[in-house]
Amino acid sequence: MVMKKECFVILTLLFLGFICFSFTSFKGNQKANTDKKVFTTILNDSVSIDMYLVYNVNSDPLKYYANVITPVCEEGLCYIITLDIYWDLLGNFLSYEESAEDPLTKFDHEQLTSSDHIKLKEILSDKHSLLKNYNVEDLVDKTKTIASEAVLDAVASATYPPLKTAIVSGAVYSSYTLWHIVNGQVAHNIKEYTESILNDKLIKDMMRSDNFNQQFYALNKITDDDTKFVPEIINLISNGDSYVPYFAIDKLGDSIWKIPVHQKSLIKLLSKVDFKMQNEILNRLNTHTLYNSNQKVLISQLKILDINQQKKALKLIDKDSISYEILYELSKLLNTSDSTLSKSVYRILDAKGKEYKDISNKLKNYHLTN
Amino acid sequence: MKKREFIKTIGIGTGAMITNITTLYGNDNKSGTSNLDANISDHSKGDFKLDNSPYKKKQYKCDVMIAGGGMAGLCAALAAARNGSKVVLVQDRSRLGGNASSEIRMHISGASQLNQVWRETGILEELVLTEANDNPQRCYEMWDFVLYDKVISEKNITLLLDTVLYNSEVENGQIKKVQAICSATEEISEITADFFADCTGDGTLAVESGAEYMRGRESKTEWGESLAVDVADQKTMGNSLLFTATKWDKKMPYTPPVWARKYTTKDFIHRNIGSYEYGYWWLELGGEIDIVRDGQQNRHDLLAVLFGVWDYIKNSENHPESANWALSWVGMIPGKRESRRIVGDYIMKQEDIQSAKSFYDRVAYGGWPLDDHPPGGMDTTGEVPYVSIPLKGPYSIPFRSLYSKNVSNLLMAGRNISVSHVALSSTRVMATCAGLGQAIGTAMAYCKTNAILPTILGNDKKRMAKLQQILLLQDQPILEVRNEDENDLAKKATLKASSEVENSLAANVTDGINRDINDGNLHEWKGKMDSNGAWIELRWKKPINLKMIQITFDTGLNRFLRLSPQDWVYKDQVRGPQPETIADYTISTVINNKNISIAKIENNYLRRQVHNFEPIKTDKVRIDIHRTNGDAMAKIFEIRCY
Repeated sequence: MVMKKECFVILTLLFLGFICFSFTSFKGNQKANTDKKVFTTILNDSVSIDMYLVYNVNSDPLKYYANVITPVCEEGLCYIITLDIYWDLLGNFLSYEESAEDPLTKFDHEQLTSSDHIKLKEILSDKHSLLKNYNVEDLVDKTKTIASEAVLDAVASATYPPLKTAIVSGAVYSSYTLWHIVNGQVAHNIKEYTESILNDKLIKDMMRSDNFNQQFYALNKITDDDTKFVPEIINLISNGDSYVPYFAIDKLGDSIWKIPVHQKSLIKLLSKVDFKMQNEILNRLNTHTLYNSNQKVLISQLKILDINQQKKALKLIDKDSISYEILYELSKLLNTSDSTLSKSVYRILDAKGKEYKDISNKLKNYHLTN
Repeated sequence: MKKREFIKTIGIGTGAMITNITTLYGNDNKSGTSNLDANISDHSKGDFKLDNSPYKKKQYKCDVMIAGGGMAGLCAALAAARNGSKVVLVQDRSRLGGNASSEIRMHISGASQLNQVWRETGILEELVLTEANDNPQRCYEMWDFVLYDKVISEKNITLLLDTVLYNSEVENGQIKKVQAICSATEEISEITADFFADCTGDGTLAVESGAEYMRGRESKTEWGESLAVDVADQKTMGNSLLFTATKWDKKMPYTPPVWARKYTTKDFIHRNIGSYEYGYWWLELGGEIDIVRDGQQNRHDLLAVLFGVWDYIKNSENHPESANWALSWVGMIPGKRESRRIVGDYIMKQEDIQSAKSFYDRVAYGGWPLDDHPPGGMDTTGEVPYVSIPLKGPYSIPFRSLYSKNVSNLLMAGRNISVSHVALSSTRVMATCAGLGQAIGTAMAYCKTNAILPTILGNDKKRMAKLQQILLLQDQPILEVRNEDENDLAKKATLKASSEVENSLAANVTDGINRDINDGNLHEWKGKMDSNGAWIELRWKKPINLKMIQITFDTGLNRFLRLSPQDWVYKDQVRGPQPETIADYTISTVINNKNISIAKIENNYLRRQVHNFEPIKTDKVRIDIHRTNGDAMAKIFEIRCY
């Protein structure tokens, strides 16, 4: 035990010295000139974190980073972790970079493997990780210990098998310390800072990003029917992450569905979105009148729809009066290999297109060959 | 009219001293079955005096009155009765089982969720093994009747179904009498008892009796719980209404009622419609209203949710594979997760669960994750429907959380025990509640026998140790308690078996541990089944007096075992007898060079078998195993002799 206390004191002194050294030597060493220091957060009266905002080539805010230096103490052994950590514009963890001189280690100074790093990054990304709600002492089984080969008297406790998937084995304390730094006050401060600089341009950037959290956050910042963001919204309907598309489509008010150019873009999306989103688009189109040119676009998409969707789409076209142009477009589908679709088309043309000679001929041919 | 005979039969059978008899209700003391049928078939049928005065009072005097016939209440009743107490069990429905009954159809969850070895033993195990054996057809009503059969067969229990408690009389901080009403029989039951158990879930008896209780969610600062809300409120987890559906061989259209809610795809981003046969625990509402008092409105709102979701499934066209599916049953009673929590001598908290604190007064365990449901439920579909924090293993529940701190003869089991909101998110599930029921049922009998109050017991380590030994003997799910029963003669025996497997020696049956406890050691004997079966023998240096042998078998506690309307739940289950369990066996001894048979059992599927017999003096007992339910090994966890 004496050994451990001494070790702790020495390491703490080393740590304090290292912090002084870092603060004087670090700045300007690694980051581009465009990065801007935006705030400093002090954790537990000891760990000071200078947060930088990183800009892209267009000088728009891109992400945050900080060089984090923190002590980690476990079972009487202390060591220092040094990492560059990155967050998105909302304070969600993105990644970290180790320093070449001082890489992350597990028990007994063993370096983390590449799979350990993947796992650690997953854990730090998980805002609901059990590291949030467990005391670190409860994560390790003190009845089962492994003796250190490097330090006299030092032991590490084993991790409980059911919790193994949620922690990096041999690096419970450092995972725990990092999780609370990454997802604690710092994350909160980042979000606050972004809120303070938020404008339409940044909202659009977030909507165009490939980051689910930013997409969702930005969507919730705009009001329905705000035409400023329609291109971004339409993009999110087909490219949004996870369930963002279903929230995006809700942001398009009735007035937008009536505008020909938007109507066209939305119909074109049918070939890019999944089955459920196809239904969403068709259901919403169903309450609007389609422009002739857009009816043509819809006809061009019929083949990719399933039977029920085709019925729904044809209802949008099969109105009291159908122009020759649309009937002609439909007649092209009489030859499709999808017999259900050709039959449906035949019924419409038979009822409303017989007065046109070329269509009437096509109907006769269809009748003969089917 | 043979009224006197009725009185005699009922008096003996139920143990309840009943005066002013107006019905025929009671138990036959021989078969254990209700004598109701017997009297109806009596030749005096029709020869009775009509009583046209409704709501006549009927008096019951018993040792233990239990309010609520859910999993907690019925296990409490069985435990108390089996330990010699005269019990009146009052249930407000026609069926037993509460949330687990066919009226609600929530499957029983518990420590099996840990995917380790911790399926709960005890009375619950007896019930689920019986159901798995007797109900291969997975009929929910048959499960109800497994529960009914167990309760009605217990001679010490008087079961009052369709009976709702509405009043209690309290003197000097003790409940003296409870009044309950049954509209179907136009009766008011007045029940006097030494101990009362609130297994109502809502804590109705506790409130009625002036017991201190908690509602809503405590703040983080209250007990330093990281999972608690920042600011305390009155909100709770919501109720769920369930349904079942069946696949037909033709299209089954569906038209919802006009008042059904409307849903779109984005309402299901956090709520998975995986299959159609059973849905869905997340049909949940009521956490933001008075979960007790606003129940009528909440039920209607839940129906509007349920039919709205089914409408989405059937008519949104996002689920074309649902075309041939149709609703086959729709619940009308929402299953409750949370309402009131009665304050005991100890309030369990988040840390007790996560650190798996080993309380000296531990009497049961839990193993469900800390699984809190945000109160908004289907009103807030943009939010996740639950936040679940996994546990490292099972945790103990102290007896001091199972009795009221200010009503001294009131105990509780179920979701209404003395826990924080956060702790409740784990303790609330029914397998845990069943263990709590067995714990207080046994404790009430102990208190009655020793003429002490629960708080005396709960704060006395020596007495608690004695209770723990009784609980363990009766297979209670309990952690870190080893058989230290000095009266167990098996511990003094030398063991020998037809064969042994490395680390699964014959001597393991008396090592004091009656199950796998995940400690890396095997606590059972395994003997190879050859053409002659297998055998295990106990020998004593000097003859002993023997009148009871208890055997604990292996029933595969590492697996899930539970009835559910959901198909995937059966994936890793074995329906019917569990293969590890010994099916046919005989117990014999040798007295004066003569082989004497003590017991011959066929088709066993239970974990615990108790054999009582006329006392004998012997120095040897042998158990011959003739058949297992499929396993190539004969397996026994524990043998006790008394």
